[in-house]
Amino acid sequence: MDTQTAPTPAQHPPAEDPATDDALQRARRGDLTAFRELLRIHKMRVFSMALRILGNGADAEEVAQDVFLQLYGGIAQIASTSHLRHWLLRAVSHRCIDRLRNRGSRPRLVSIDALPEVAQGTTTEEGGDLLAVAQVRRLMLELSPEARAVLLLRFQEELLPSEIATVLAMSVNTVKSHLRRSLEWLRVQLEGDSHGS
Amino acid sequence: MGLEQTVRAAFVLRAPAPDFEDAVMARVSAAAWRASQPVPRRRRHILLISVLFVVAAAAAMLVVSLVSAPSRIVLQNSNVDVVAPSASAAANPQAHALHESLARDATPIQPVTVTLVLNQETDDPAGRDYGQQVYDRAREELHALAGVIFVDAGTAGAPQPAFRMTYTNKSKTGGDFHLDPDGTLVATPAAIGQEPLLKLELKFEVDALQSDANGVDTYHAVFWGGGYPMPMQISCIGRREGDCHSTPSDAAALHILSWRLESTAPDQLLDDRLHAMLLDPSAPELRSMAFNSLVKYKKLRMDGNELRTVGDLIAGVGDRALRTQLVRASLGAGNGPDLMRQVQDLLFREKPNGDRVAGVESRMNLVALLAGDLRDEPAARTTLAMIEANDPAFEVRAEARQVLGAQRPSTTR
Repeated sequence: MDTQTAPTPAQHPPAEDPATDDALQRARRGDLTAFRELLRIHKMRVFSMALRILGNGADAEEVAQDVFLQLYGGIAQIASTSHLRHWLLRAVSHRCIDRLRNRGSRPRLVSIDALPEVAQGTTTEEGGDLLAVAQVRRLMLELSPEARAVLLLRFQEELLPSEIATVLAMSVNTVKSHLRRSLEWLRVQLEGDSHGS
Repeated sequence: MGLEQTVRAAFVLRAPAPDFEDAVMARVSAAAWRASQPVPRRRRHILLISVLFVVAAAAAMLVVSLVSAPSRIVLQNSNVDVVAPSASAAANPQAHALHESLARDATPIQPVTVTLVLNQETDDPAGRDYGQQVYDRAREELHALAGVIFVDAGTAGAPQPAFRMTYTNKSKTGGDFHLDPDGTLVATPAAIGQEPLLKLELKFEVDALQSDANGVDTYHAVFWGGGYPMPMQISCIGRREGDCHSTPSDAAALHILSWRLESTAPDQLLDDRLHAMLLDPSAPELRSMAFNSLVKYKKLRMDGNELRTVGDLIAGVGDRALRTQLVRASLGAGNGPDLMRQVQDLLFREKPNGDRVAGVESRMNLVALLAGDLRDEPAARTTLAMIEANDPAFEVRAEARQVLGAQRPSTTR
């Protein structure tokens, strides 16, 4: 399957939800109960992004808290629920990337330039299982922060490359490069693991 | 399973710790309060019915009044109870002199005006209940935190009007109202001329009843600290269960506690109130604020009750710096073994269905704690080994294994 293929309708979250929109409008007027509703709706999304990028639950929770606090300060600027979702994804991605960049000791990161160039559409080989899921989570932490964010936005949030480019302030080509190379690198690593290396 | 499906499966959403929401809301509330200082005057479209009760309060003044007044009057709702003074200046001039001396040395608490503003459209039973809760709790908290004595303006012999209501809107301005004992607002023809003591204002505004999309009346909002709302569903009045997290009375208490923390140095009244709040899990925002304040003032007692509270907070508290302070305070007080027991209890306690009570992230936090601040406790390594062998979550076992592996070279040398 092509990595740039649009997600199926079932995968893609609804653009606007009336209940969420109502909560957003009330939160914009300063309604803390409505803000808590938004928090409840989006906390898993934000926390999961942070957890997968940072690889540490405590750090992820701290970043997720900071993101929601930042949201509270700027909620008047949020125009719609889709805007809200993209704003949250952008905020959590950038905060996590900054945090990893500022860390004194970073995990081994795989730069996009160190990843092999591969042809598009070569990432559909069979062979995944529950063990592979755990391995993917572990391997994710060896990718560069930007590559992790791109993968998460694509496969957790089901964003299109053009949407990811907007969220992460990257070119679409860079997003596609990250996707191709990261998936290929994961495939190679998983194959290596499955052969006992 | 293809690679992309595997990646999707790896990215299944995870929930943060159970207290994540409360932790965020506590920070949001604190931010809202900070942003509200000084109190802005921007809600100019409301202020339709005001209820003012003026309170002159100082710890020193309280002492003096207890000693010198023939009696003191405590306002409960609008009923007045007369409370006999504990001593009098005439009966005990030495005590009186001592209290006056203490009063001179004490940091005075500024006189305070508490304003409860009812919106024009708030004149409904729920709105009255709502306002009543704020009023009652404000009175209780002021008494607990500042030793404030409430004086009812309508009581004969009262030294000054302490409970004043003003009604203002576009069509009708300047009328004075008072709250009858049964809770009804009654117009008072004669204007009350005295100015309240406006040294500091604690203001709560009860907003109009809000409706949902279907036109059903659902909630009121208390605006506190000059414009930041704490809305509450009508069904939540007087209860905290289920979705009812904070009550408007919590808004009152939070605001008053914030004022108290900002305005005066810690004293015994504040100390006692903060400890009582810390032990009360029913209002997380207050507990969090009390907890932060006690850490800040180095007033944690680390007795059995507090240690249990600390244990509850350790697993899920989002603020790592605070958690570190807390644990170190506990260890500094010689509570290492007790803390270890708390940690072990949190790690291994099970629900009736066999699941662990603490979630995976909480247990990861606890492993980090065992690897960090608690690493020198005798039972730390044993506990980590038990986690490595028995924890139901792969990540937690792996984390414990990693910690034990990292410690091995230094401990086996």
